[in-house]
Amino acid sequence: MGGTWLLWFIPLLPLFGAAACGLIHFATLAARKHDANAKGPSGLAPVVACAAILGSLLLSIAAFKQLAGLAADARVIESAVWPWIHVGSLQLDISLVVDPLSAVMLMVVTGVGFLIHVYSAGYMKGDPGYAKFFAFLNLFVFSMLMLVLSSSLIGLFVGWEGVGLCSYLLIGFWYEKGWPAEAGQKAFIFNRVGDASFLIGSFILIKLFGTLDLSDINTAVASVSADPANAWWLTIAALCLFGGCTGKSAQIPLFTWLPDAMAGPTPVSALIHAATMVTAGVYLVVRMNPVFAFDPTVLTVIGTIGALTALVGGTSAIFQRDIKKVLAYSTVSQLGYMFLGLGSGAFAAAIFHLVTHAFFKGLLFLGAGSVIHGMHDEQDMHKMGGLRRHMPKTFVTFMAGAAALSGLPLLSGFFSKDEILAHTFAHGGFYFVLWGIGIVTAAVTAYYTWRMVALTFFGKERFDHHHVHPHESPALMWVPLAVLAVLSVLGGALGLPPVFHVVHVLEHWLEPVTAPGHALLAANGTHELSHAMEWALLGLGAAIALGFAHFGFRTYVKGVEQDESVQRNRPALADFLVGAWKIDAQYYAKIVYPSKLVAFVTAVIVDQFAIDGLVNGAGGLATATGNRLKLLVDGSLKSYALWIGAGAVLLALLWMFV
Amino acid sequence: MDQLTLITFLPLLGALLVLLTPASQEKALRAIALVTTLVVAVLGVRLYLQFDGTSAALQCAVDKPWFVLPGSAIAIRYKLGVDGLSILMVVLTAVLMPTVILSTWGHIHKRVKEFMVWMLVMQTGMLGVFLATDLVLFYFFWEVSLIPLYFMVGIWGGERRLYATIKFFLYTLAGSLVMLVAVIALIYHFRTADIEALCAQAGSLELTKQLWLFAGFALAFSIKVPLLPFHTWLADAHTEAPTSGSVVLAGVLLKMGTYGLLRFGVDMFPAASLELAPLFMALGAVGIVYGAFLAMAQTDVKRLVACSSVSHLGYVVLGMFALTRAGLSGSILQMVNHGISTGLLFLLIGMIYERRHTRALDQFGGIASTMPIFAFFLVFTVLSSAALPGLNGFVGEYLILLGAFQAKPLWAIIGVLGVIFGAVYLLVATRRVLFGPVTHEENKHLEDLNVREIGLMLPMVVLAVWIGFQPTPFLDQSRGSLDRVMKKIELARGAQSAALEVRPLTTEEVVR
Repeated sequence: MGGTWLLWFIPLLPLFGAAACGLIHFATLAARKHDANAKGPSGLAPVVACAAILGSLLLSIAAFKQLAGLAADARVIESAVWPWIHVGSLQLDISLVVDPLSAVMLMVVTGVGFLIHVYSAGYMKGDPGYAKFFAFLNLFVFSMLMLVLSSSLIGLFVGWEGVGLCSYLLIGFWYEKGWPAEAGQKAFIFNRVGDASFLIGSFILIKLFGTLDLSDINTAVASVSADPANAWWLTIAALCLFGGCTGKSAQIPLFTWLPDAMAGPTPVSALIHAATMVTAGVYLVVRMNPVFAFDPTVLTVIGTIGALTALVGGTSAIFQRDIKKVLAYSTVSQLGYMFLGLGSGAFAAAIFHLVTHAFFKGLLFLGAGSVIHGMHDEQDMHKMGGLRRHMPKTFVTFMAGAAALSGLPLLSGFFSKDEILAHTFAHGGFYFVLWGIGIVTAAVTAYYTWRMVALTFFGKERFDHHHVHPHESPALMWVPLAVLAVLSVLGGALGLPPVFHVVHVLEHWLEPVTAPGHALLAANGTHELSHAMEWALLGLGAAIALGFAHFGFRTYVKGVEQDESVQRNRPALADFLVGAWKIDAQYYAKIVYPSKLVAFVTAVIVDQFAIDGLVNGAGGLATATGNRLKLLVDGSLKSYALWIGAGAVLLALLWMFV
Repeated sequence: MDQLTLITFLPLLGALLVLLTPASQEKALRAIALVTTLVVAVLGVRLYLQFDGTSAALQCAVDKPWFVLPGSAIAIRYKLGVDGLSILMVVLTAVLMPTVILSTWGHIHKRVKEFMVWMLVMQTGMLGVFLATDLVLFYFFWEVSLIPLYFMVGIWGGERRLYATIKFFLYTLAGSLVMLVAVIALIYHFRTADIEALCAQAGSLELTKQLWLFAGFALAFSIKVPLLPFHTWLADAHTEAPTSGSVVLAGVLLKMGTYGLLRFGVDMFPAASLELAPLFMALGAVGIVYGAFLAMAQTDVKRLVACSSVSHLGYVVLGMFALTRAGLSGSILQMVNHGISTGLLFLLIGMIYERRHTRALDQFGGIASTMPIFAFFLVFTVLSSAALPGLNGFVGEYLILLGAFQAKPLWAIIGVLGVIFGAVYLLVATRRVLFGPVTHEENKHLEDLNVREIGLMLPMVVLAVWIGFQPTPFLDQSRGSLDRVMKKIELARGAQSAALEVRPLTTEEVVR
């Protein structure tokens, strides 16, 4: 107790904003009853929504400052407690806590969130659901803030499912078209699969620790794991929680909802499906790092899944024609990197990549949105080209994002990705294989990124000049791009590698949070790289990024011939990669359709035919017997009841006395 | 007059008033019914506020002589009382009814007078079931509450109403009769019909007798719940019943089954419950998944929701027979939650049916464009039903699954699958009704919900949010009673494990 209520306003402001925007939406609908084109008060919605997020952002900065003022090992600010579920000795409460880790997430969520809100005010202008959009967007930020601020796993789960809900609502925002609604549904169900696993993990934790308070659990891990049976349960719990992460953070086997999620408006893709929500799994692992670090097998599983996801996602991006699909698969791939980092025990590096990725991928999505906006809703890159002349601001900022994503030297993505790969390399053994996958993926990343840039902004203009007149987006849209571009370029300063002989700001800042996990890992031996080795790895990373960026750019600056020739000469390969290794198709063939069949068989054959048939058969038998007995009694309901009653009494008496 | 008698019989009084009013005065009839149920609702809320959840004792108890069983000296008494096992059910029954009555404005246009009479009689029956603390009185109310639904479906129902009515009647009759045997046996054995006394003594019966008596009660209640494999009457009854009938059926009548299992199963025969807990947990868990698969295959929205009830009540049974504190608490709360969310679903389906006169899923699509307010309420309700944290359903389901996990992890894991499948059938149905392009001409000019329709749902919507955010006060209402029940279970558990420890010893001795 003794916590502050003020902290609650960080998530509550967006919640109030969401409620206000919801009311504005319904007021707009009411106004439209009389005049179908009336705007109503919908123009207020972006103002309210942006103000709410700005308020959260300012409070977050204040909290951050206060935190930084404290001694390193005392950096925790707790809020007052909301008592939630109390049953017997079990107490599941919700309270908020700002510590170095949640402070970083706070800045990302409210900072990037604010920029995307501003951008959306321009992007969504004129949409009939303008106010509704901001209601959902604010609700999302509320949920995301609950997720990162909650001091207990149950509070985290409230946010966890809440962001899933908002994701569902926003992917299906343009539900009239049909397929966005299906994509939203798919996202929700895939997330639910992960959440089911998450729930089981939480049950095990309650069984082991009697609480879901995260800091209590983190401290108790060491003592509980002494008992082998408990240790076994703890491993299962960690794997179950990671199962939840594969859903939320789009990892193998649950990643296939994310590319479909691009059906939502582009700011949604930027905020939810790149910068914030999908990184929740990474956050969870770091938040509970002792639980995951205590059994090295768990980390190996996480690292392997991460590396494979990075590869599958990256290669799937190579031949996509839809600019948002490229970015979606790229996000899957980059999230894979983050999990590879976690699997290597590099918790700070994973968060570092999370932050830089939020900058550059948020930027790229918003840039893509600007392009789509300027091209009158065209998303096919084969129908773009040469746009740098028409939208110079979008072009310049997009280049910055692309450079960061592909890991060109000295940009933010270069340092964060390199740090993860260095840690993986340092691990040795099986991790060499994972490192190899990471390096291959880095090459692929540079290639598809610059293919995208070339196809969109360079080469011939392949669009129909009579119908499409590309134009630069308004300031409301390009100013957020510019801010993110600066962050994408300079963000690397947060975590410069040891060879630069400066403090790794982020690692140092996160030290109090990651120390318990590192202590557990240190028991299995530490991994240090020599400076020479680090230089070598840095150099290799730079060379690969530059080389493949050049390769991708050179190939596609000429036009779309390369795609066409692959499609012609290697149709199976193109098909395989565009279809994301056919994993989703397998799900439909092996799970979705059979489930429908099972449901049908259950409903018709088992239920109606077998069970109900038995009942009706028994009914028929009773009727037949009744017809015979009619001869004995007069057939009125009253005598039946009398007979049945008498029989019952007889039975009862028999039972009593025999 | 004492409070509980007033609550129980006020609806009956209202029914009498309705009877005395000429059938042509439809407005007056409806008004009488609405006012009556509103007063009962207020009394119900007052009772809830007065109730002390920390105490295990029967509260507001009434005890008056009724009659003596002929040929014996056993006194049957008029006894009412409320405790932690029943309080939420009583309040739910009281609070739900005005909504139900108000919903009939839209769909009951013929024989209004009779309908209101049956509705009010049913409320007396249901309240009596939850409040009676004498076994004979309980049985009396149990039967009273069955008859009205029989007429409601039979007269105001859909096309196949006769089939549904007969099925429903035979099913429940079969259960009732078997229960009657158990009731009589129990009364004659202990020479009392006082439920409190029986609960205190029945635990001393030898296990075999407990099992038989338990089975007698459990069959009737399992049919009512309905528990797999006794569920097939439910979908037919729901599909054919008028909206208001469905709401009462799902909201309260089914809970008589789960309440019965709790009171006359777990509380009265703890040893037998413990013995049979694995069976019931299995039936509950399998029912969750089975019901979900049934729902997935439905093409009629109302039938889909009916099947979802099988799934949701599977949770209640799973949690109850986990026989852990979390499971029992969750189970009681989930009874209320299911009443709220499924009640709302039936109301919403009724509203769309009144506009389109069809319930076939393929007749809809894109309704969200024409009826945005309806869409808001439907999505809200679906989320409550799918147990989104922050709404009521989550608290119940989480506690149930946790409680089940503490008892038998396997059944909890199967139950968790329901979390996935529940989302599947609910979201698919939602999408097919609300989203996509408007493909049917008839759907293009649908009138959105009116003030009455919004207003009648609001109390339940508020409750759903309230329970979701602040469940502890609701959970605390059953704290004292559940502490008492848990003590019994622990005793029985101790005896069971003692017996298990003894067994190998005795066989060894035999060998020697």
